[in-house]
Amino acid sequence: MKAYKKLPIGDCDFASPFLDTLQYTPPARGMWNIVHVGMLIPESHQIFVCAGGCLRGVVLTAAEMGAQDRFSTVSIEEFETIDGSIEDNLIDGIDDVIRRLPKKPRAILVYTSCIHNFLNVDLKRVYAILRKKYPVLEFTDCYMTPTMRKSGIDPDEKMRMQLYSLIDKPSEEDDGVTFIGDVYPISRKSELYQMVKQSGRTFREITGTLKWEQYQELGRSRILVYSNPAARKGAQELAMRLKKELVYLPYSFNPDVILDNDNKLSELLGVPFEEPDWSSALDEASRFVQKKRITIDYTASARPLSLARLLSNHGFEVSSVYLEGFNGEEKDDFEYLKKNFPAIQIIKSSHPDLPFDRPNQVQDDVIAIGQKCAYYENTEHFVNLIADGGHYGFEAIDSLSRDIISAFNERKPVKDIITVKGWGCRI
Amino acid sequence: MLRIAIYGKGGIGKSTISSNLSIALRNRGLNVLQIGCDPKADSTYLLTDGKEIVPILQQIRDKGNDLKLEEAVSAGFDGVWCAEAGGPPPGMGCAGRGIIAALQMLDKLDAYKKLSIDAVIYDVLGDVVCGGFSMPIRDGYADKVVIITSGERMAMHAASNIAQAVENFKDRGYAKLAGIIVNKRNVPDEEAKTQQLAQSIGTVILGTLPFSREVQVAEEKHLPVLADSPDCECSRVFNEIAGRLIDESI
Repeated sequence: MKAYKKLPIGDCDFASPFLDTLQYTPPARGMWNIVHVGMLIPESHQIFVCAGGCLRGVVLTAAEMGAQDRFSTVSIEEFETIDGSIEDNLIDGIDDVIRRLPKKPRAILVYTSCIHNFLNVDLKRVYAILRKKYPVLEFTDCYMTPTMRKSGIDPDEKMRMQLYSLIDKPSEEDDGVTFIGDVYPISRKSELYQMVKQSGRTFREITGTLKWEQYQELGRSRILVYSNPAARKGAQELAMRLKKELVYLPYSFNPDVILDNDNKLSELLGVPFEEPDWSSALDEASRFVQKKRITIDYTASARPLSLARLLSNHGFEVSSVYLEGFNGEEKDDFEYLKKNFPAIQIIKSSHPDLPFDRPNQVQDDVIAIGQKCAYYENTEHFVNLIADGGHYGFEAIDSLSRDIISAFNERKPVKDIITVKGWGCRI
Repeated sequence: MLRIAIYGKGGIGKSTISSNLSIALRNRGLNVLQIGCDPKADSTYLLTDGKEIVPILQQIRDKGNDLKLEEAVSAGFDGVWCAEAGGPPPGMGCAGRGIIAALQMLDKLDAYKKLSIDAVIYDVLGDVVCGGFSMPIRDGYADKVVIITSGERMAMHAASNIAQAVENFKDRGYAKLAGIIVNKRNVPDEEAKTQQLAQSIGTVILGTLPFSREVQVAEEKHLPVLADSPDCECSRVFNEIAGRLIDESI
C-alpha cells in the first residue's frame, strides 16, 4: 500500500511507500551538500557556473563556513543560451577565476549546471582546453543539476565519486586500508579502526587529509573499504582505476550483520576479533528512557530501519521513522519490522503538512534520533547523529546508547544546532 | 565501427536513404544499427514493415532507469537494429534535448558493444539548429557526416548550412564531412548545380540517386527499395555508396 503522508509499516510497500506530492524541506541543515563534500579535497578551489538565482544557496553555504577563499562563481546570462557562446564563456569564466586567484590551488572543482546539460555543452572539450592551458592544475567535473536529481546517478553519489577522481596511481602501494566515501572521520574506538591499527597497517581516510600529498596517499593502500551505500560507485570506480581490493562493510545496527562484517575484516587483516559486550549499554539506555517514544529519521543513518529494529528489540518504543523511501539494502529489516512491530509509523519526511502538524509546545515524551525528526516532533531531547557520524559496528551501538541517555538527561538548543549547514564541516 | 550521421533538408529523403544504406551495409555483412534522431520517430518505418517502434524518450518517461536494451532497440528487416529517439509533442519541449537524452541512454545501455554493432546510422532531423542536433556528430558518436540534397535551391541552402556547422567544429575532433548524396528531383541542371555545391563546401558527391518509381512502389509496401527491387538503378547506387562509405579513405 502507498500513501501520501504516512502509514504503519505493517501496511507499507517496499521500497517506495509514498506517492508523489508537494514537498517541504524543514530547517534542519546539518546534512552536507555538494559544497561541503567538495571541500574535503585539500588545496582545492570550487568554481560554480550557473544562473545567478541558483547560485544563492551554494554562495551562502561557502560564506557560512568561511570558505569564500576556496570558492568562486561564474554567472550565466540569457544571451549565452541564444548566441551559442555558453561553451566558450564557460572556459573564459573559469580561466578568469584561475588567473585572479592570489595563490594557485592544486585542484579545481568545476560545478556545471542544468543549462549546460540542456544546451549540450561539450564538457570533454572544455576540460581538454583547460587542462592544456593549466597543465599543473588538476580539474574534475562536478555537477549542480537538480533537474537530474532523480535520473541517472544521484548528485550525492556523483559528488562522492568525484571526491576520489583526482587520486593518481601511486608509484608504490602498501598494505594500508583506505576508508572511502564518508564525510566524518571513522571513530577511533570503532572495531574497524582498531583492527586496522592492530594489524600494523596504515589507516587512511579523506577527512584526515590537509595537504594535497596526503590526499594522494589515499591511493597507496592496497585495500579500500566503504560502508555508506552512497559511496559505492565512487569506491568501485577508484578500485577499478587503481586496481585495488574493494571491501563493502555496510553500516548496520543488526548485530548479526555487524558480526559478519567484523569477522570478514578480521580474516582479511589477519587479526583476531572477539565480539564485544554491545548489549549492556543499550539495555541500560532502554531502562533509563523507559516509556519515552523514540523517533528516527533517514538523515541519522544509512540504515534507519535496522536502527528501529535494534531499538524495538531492546525494549524501546519506536513510534515513527521519517524517510523518503526505503534503502534497498534494508529489505530484511523492513520485513522484520512489518511482521513484529507493524504499528511503527513510516512518515514522508518532505510532506508539506508536517510543519503544520508540528506541536506548538516542546515535547518531553519523545527522543529524536536525527535532525529532521527533532524539528518535526518539536523535542529538545535529541541525538544529533548525521549520516552515521563516523560510528561503525558495535561501537556505533555503544555510542548511540550513551547518546540516547545523554539526550534523555539534557535538553539541546535544537534551533542553534540544526540550522548550521553541513554539521561538522571544517575547512 | 563505421558511424555515419545523415543530415539534410526536411523531406529530402533522409529516412528512405538511411534505411536503404542500412540494408546495403547489412548486405556487406555488417551488423547495423539505425537511430532515428527526430521527434516524429519515423526513421525506421521501412525497416519495421511500417510498424511504429516505441521511442526511447517515451520509454525513459515510462520506465526511467529500468529501461532495458531490448526495449530501447528493436530488430528490423534483415536483422538491422532499429531505434527511435523520439521527442516532445509538436510545439512543446525541446527536441534537441530529447536527442541528447536518447543517445546518452543508448550509451548507458552499452548498446553498441552489447549488440556488437559494426555500423551506426544516425538519421538526424533537418538542419543543425542547436546543440541537440549536433549531438550525433560529436566526439564519440558519428565519424562521418553525409548530407542529402537535390538541385533545389532550399535543399542546397540547407546543405551549405550543415556543411558550415561541420566546418565550425573542425578543430574539435568531431565528425568529418564524408560527402553529399544527391537525391534527384529532376530540376534543370541538377547535376551541375550539385557538383558546384560539392566544390564550394569542399566535398565530394558519393552518389546520385535517380528519381525512381521503384522507390515509391517499395515505400507503398513499407520496404526499402533494396529489398523490393534489388536490381534497379537506385539499388545499384545505394550499394555503390555503401562501398564508398566503408572505404576508410573517405
